[in-house]
Amino acid sequence: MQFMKRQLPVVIAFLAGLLLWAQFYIPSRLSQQALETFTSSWAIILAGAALILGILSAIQHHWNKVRYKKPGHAYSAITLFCFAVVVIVGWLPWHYVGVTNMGHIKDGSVFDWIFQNMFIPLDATMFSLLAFYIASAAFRAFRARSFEATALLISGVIVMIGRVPLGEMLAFDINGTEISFTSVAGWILNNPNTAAQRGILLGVLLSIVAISLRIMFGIERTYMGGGD
Amino acid sequence: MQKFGDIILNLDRRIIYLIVFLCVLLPLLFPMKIPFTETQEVKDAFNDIEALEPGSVVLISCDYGPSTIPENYTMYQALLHQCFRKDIRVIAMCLVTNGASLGNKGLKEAAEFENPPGNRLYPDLEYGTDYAYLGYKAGGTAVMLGIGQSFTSTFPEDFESRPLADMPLFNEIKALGDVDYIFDIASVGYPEFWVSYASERENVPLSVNCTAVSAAQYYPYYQSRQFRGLVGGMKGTAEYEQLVGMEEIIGRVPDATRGMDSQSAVHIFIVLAIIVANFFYFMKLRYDDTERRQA
Amino acid sequence: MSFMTLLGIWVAALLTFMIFSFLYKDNPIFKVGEAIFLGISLGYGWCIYYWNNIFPQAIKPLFYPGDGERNYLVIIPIILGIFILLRVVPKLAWLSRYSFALYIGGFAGIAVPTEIAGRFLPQVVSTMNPFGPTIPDAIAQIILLIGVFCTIVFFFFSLEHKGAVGTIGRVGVVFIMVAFGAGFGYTVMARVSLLIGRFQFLLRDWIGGTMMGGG
Repeated sequence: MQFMKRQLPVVIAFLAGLLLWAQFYIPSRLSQQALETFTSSWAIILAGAALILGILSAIQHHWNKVRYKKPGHAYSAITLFCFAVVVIVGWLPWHYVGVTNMGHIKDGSVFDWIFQNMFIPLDATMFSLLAFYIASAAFRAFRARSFEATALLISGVIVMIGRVPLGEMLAFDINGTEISFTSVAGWILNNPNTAAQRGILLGVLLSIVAISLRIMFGIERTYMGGGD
Repeated sequence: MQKFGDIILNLDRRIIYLIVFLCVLLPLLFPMKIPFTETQEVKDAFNDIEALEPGSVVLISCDYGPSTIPENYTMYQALLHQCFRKDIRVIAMCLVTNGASLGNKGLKEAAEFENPPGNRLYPDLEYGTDYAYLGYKAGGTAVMLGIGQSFTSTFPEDFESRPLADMPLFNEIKALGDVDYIFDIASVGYPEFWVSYASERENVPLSVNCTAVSAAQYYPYYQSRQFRGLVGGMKGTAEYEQLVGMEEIIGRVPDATRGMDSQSAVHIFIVLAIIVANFFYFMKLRYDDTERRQA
Repeated sequence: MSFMTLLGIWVAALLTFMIFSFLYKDNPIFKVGEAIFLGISLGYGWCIYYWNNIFPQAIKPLFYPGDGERNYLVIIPIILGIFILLRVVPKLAWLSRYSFALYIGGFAGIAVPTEIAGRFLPQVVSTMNPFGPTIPDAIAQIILLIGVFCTIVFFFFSLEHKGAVGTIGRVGVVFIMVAFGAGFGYTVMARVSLLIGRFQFLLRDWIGGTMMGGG
């Protein structure tokens, strides 16, 4: 049973990884079909199931809060109510009882109305709050305490001014060449920024390869979760 | 001066919020229409699409959600109008759950656009022949690899449950390799994966519109020409709108362009705030240092 | 403007102000808005996953194939998908390991050659471009080469950052700080853009569309 619970998944990971790695080098019809079956069908179903698991876990969490009347259970009740409403209007087979604008996600449905008039404003406004926070944070915390912080500050200020239309108007004539904040910002982005980002990117790519190999060879087993 | 410095350094955050609020609101009410020119990264993306022949197929991946509508949805509209004006066929899809309905809405809005009301700009466009919205699929890179093998296997139906096999567009376009261009409009990290799992594998050119948060990190791909063009943030989108001529198409100043004045105002405020805060910070440090020496 | 459209705009405006109320301070109105957002988000995800993923990929090929052949092969990923859902049952959670092993192991195998061929090698090749043809291009290429090398040395922790290695690492830090500053500048733009979007909705659609007869 230990083999079934712990070793067999590692073997499956290794074999799956090896086969799909080998597929990259083998252009045969069978190889393409194997990739097509795995990516266009199996992986999508598994990814969908994992995402549904996430939703079920969230629902379970809020249900427990309501059931045991934990602090904030009223808000959890609102969450569960809204979840139920959306699922009822977007998922249940209403066409069986002749209702045509519910039970699907098409344009003009009740589900679509909820998306346009409730989901979009809520999601967009949540993120728009960050504009205020970043202004406040920049004012309170952005200090040129060291040489590195000063370099960061100067680069940030130049890009902030350079990447708005006003930056083009703020130009200086140096030896007959017009240099604006926009051109300097562009130079910073295309040169030192590109260099540093590429250095980081190369490190990240090597890490991806290393972690992939660790997963395939069973050194990395965190995806299996805890327990026996 | 010292007391004034303390007041400034300990300013209530709600005063800063109020100033930001005014910096955004006032330019929207009283537009200054500050002109701007397009950067090379945006021109490259635009010129690539302009160079496509009528009948070419562009795959647009709408990898964004409602939170980035001002940067991404407006770009989506500009790109769609550019494609439809040039009789370029469009296949749109989505890899982000929250944006599934947005891709559908945007495509319909552009394809059925009327200016003036009652006069469709593109009356000959037919769903399934000239454009299609495939909807959302979970899996990210799995989907990219899947469409590299077959569109109809990965997306048996479109967003509104219509079979892809019944659409004339997919009788011709079987897989990603048959597409002429990929344009990724993203708010999350998918552009990098479009490079390795799609563009490089199937040898299809790729351009990207991304939020400003991730724009700086994508410059290595632009420099290596793995991104043929890079339209970063609201400014990039405004430049693209200008190149496409969206104001003439839709009959009003487009959203990203209109927001540039507010963007300028807020940026100048934040820069000034940083400079003022640092000035008083260093004044305070000097004062504290002098006091310590005197003590 | 139809009643549902008008109602929708007012509901959207109300929800917008509920969330904006957090700027003054945390309050029950904001918390209600947050709870509504969470509930709708979960429900939205459920419906989209079902109609765009589960139904066309798993249920329709097996139960409603129409004119086509029934695809019995999808039984395997359906069973593996059920194993993933069994993670909520503690005694059977171990079954999900098979599904995750197949998915994560498979993509680990795909990632190695794809990332090396698709991203790593092209990025290294682009760093090694010849200098020129013009002087500004040559300077740009030199800066790129120096910057990439110094950044990589900074992140190389197997060698102690002393002497020459330390100096090269410090140069790398300067490049990284310039890059992060550029990223910060861009991030400010991103955040402000989102706020501008909400104001455009409130001014054009809500006030202009519903109160000033613009609809």
